[in-house]
Amino acid sequence: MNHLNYGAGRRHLAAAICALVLLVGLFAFPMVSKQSGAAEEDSELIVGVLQKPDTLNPFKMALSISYTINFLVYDTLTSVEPDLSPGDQLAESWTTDASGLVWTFNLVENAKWHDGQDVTADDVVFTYNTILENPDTCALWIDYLSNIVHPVVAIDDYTVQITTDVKKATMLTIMVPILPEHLWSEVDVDKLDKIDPWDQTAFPDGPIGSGPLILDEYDATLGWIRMLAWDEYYIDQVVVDQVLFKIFLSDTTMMEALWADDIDVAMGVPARLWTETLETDGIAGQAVKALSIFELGINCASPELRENFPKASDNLETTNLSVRQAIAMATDKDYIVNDVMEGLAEVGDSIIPTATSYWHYYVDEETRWDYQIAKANALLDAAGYVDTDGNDIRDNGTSGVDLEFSFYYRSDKTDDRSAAIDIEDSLAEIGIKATPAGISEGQMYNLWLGCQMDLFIWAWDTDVDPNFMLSTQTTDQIPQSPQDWTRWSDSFWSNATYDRMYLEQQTTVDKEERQSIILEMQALLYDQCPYVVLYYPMGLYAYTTERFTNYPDMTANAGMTPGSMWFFFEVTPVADWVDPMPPENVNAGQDQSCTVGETLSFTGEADDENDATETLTWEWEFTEPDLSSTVLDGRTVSYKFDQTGIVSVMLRVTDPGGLSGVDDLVVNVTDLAEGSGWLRGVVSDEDSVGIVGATILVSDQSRSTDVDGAYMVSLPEGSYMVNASKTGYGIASGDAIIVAGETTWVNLTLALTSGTLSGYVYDNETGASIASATVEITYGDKTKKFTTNATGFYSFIAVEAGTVIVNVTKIGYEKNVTTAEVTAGNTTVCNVNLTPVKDDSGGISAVAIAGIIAVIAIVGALAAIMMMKRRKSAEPPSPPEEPPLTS
Amino acid sequence: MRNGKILIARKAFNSFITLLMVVVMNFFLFRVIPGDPLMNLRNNTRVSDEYKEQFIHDFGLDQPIYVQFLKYIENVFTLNFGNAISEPLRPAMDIILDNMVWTLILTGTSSILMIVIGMSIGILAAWKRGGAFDTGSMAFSLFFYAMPTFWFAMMLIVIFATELKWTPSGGALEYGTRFEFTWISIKDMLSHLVLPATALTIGSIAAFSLIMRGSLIDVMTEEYITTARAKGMTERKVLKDHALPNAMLPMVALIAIDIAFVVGGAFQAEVVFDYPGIGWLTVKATIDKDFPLLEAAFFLIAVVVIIANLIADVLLVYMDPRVKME
Repeated sequence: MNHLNYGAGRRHLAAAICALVLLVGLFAFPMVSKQSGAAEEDSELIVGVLQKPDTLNPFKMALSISYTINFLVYDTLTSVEPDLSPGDQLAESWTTDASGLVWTFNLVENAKWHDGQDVTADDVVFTYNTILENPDTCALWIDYLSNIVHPVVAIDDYTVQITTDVKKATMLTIMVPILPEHLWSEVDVDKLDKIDPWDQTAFPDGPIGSGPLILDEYDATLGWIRMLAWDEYYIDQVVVDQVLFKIFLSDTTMMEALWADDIDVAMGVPARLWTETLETDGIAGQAVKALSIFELGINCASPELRENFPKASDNLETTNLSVRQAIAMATDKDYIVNDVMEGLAEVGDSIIPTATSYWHYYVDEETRWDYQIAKANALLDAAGYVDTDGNDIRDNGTSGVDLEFSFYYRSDKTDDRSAAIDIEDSLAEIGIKATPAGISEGQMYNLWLGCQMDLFIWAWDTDVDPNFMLSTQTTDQIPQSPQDWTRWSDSFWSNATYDRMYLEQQTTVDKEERQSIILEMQALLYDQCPYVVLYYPMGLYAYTTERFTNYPDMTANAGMTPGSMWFFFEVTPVADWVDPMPPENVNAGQDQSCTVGETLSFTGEADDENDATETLTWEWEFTEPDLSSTVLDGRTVSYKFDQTGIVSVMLRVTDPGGLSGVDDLVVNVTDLAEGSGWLRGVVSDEDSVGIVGATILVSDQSRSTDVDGAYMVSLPEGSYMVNASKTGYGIASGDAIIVAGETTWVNLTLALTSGTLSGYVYDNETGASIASATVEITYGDKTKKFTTNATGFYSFIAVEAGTVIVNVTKIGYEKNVTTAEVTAGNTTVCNVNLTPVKDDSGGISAVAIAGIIAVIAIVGALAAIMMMKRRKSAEPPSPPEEPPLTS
Repeated sequence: MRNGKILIARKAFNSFITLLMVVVMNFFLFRVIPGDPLMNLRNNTRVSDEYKEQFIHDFGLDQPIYVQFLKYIENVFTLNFGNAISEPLRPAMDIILDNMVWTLILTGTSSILMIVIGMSIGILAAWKRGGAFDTGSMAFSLFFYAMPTFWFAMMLIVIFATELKWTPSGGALEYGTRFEFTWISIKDMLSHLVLPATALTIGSIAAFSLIMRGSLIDVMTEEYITTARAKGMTERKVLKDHALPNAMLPMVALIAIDIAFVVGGAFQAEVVFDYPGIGWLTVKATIDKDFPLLEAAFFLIAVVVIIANLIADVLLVYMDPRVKME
């Protein structure tokens, strides 16, 4: 038996403890690191993306993310508006001549390159002509400039003339980045698509564009791109100082970074994490119509074409229109959208998605093939497909070939798999057997180019202009051999009418005329079913709301997503944000009538959720019958009416952010009627201080008291009851007897019934005041809201005396509901402390605690079991085993 | 000693043959993966047909396969594999070396930790066989060994990054910064290294501790140990001078194998922790059919692994006289 050497044991133990301390010590680093990183002066918005740019050279880039980045750096002649329609960018206007072949573009005159030089027509001409002259190195852009006659010319510094050999419908969607001639003209034309955008010789100041963001740095290994706001951009200003695009390897990792506050915006949130993300404190999101389609593709390759593909599918039944239409009818798109996609998609019809609604073909109810199994069966019956051999699969009555198809989907897409299984079940109901098989996208390419797939679920990212998507179904795009990698048609569908219309729409400049051709093309596709478009997915975007605010409404404007300049024009750091909510419920009072020479007082009312009443500006404009006008400032003003007729009064209330609300009224001014007298008086409080803005009601006349509490009204001879009231005060009344030509005085006293409630909102842990907390008070049936200012202060005036419920909320803090006793005529102070959510719960959620406990319990249990086994095996004690001695 | 030299020469020759086979296999293996290098372009509707043709031409993908193979062999000998398809303006070798630095930091750190901690646990456990430490440490290391790395990694993120916010959730450095030899940058790098290195280390300690423990227990029952004890040596001296050197032999082979892991990267940890490295790079290159990147990466990995194994063989020759007798 070994003898323990306690000294050595202790040293080993010490070594183990040292290792542990090292690990724990390492854990301590980040706390320092995170704090030190927080002290940044520039505002930086970190946007998480899931794709890495291939290159940022504008002649070589081919991936979507490269385009996203570079179109924030470089401008185009025309661009895309927030609603995805074509709009202006460097060109502020354009005209075409009578022939429709000569286009004249007028450029903005205040655009500047990021190195400070002016953007002129020469830069546009240089870019376009370079592409036209060098189709090899500029192959990326050559398609956009098809039919443009070389050379493009500059008429003057800010006018460009482009001539085409045929009418060009896509002239306003040419997404070619305009490059600075003074830099790129120095680059050897053979190296245009090979030069590093940070090549120090050609671009000593780095990549220079004229877009809203400057491309500052790109670290391909660490996966981030830093961009800086360009202060002299001519359309609008990016609000934040810097934008950092962070590239993530997986969507889960990106979402973890968002949840951990390491990034601010996540582009492309996976649908499976959408609900969980929206439920996270401090994170909001929007589901936006995307330029994307998911389709069930059907192989329409003719028998002759299939001869070029040695491994082509030999089941030709998918070339039969009735079979394709029956498949379309048997597809339950509603189920796929609602159950598979959990509503985060729209039912699809045509290959142009609804995001570009102008070009999208909305199938009318009569034509639409809803999920109609009976109709699909009838169609197959009529086409002669019956089950002759009793295997539950219909077969071609003539050839005997079963309607049994190969069916593929991308195995890494769980949604595609679920949709495929549903389609398999539906097709079984109409006697078609299609067992779905999940394969890699790579295999999908091989099978497509081998013409081997009968049915498949795949997807496309579409473009703002419909031209490209429409081209994918033209005969020109059908691969001619398994090595024909450059074509796009995966349905192998060919239709001469469609091809003719495709060419026609390309040369139809009139937008409506082009639209009608494009709709007709889509109608033809819908009828012919090379694709059964299943759905249009939503693009999912999530973002933090604690550091940044004013995110645009992307659901209303699909062109304002985080990759667009429009997004960056809006998103604002919370600290710099001025609430855009204008004063609401502006009330100038009721219409009135009075006699000439009378002075009336007016007191305005308005609510503003984010600004105290005393910070609002009140402006009254009185317009007399002769159209002369007078402007008076102040919440309560008095005005003497000297002309008979209708006087219009407009009240404009403006908040500190410059936003305003208006209300108006009219005053009918008449001559003093015969037999009339004057009623005058003062409305005051219990301390004999005049009450401004109290309402006087007498007969059918109403008046507002002036700054001294005084009022005046002319009345016919007689007896009257005079009533006075004001919000926050009680009601008082008195009798008046009016005698012709005389003045009767009636003074009234109002008792105060309300008070003011104000206070500060503090952080319970640090004692710091909390800005932008929402304070909501409820008393009686009234509810009022206020958002605390930068010092954490809030204030409500004219709160009815009594118990008021004060509800204070702020993201990241626990809600605090308290009550306050408001007394009439007094200011009640109610300071509220909020407790940070994380600190209170020890910074760890119940789930995480449960997880840790479970892990410890399992380890403990395992150790205990093993210990017990060891002890059991040790009983009864056996003598120590002596090693045999060797001689 | 002459036997030893012949043995080393033979091993070196074998290594060279292995490398040649790997070189040839690399070329053909990647070309039978389904898909084509233009796959990613389907997601971008703006690319023209002319561009695609030019792209294929630039990468020589329109050449007959034997021409591509000859070009590849030339690349191997010049160590210039051309630009990567996924990043057409960056040489594949540059991309690999840039990522390799981070891989070495992550897997190198965790390998050192797992070897030191694993062997220490193994020695202690074997020494106090059947005791509380043996039982507890074995249960601990096996428990984490059995746990999927990605799951354990995600748990670490949820607890330490998302909930406690002690560490960053991912990345190798603070987003938007590059490594500099300053204390702040080093601290930042270490803070980003904590979670992935912990996940890799704790998850793999068992591999070392179990083998060390088993090997030491075997050795401790050898007759020469009894002899040593009989000579009156202290238990510590027996362990240090007689048991440990012999028990280390299997560990040399294990460490050599671990070198493959060090240069090959830890793909799961890289993905979960968003850590740059060669693991994810090669997986992505396989998906993208990025031939130059794959060829360069696998060539480099093969060279390092073969050399590491050769060194292990040589070491064994010197450490274990029995090898020479074979």
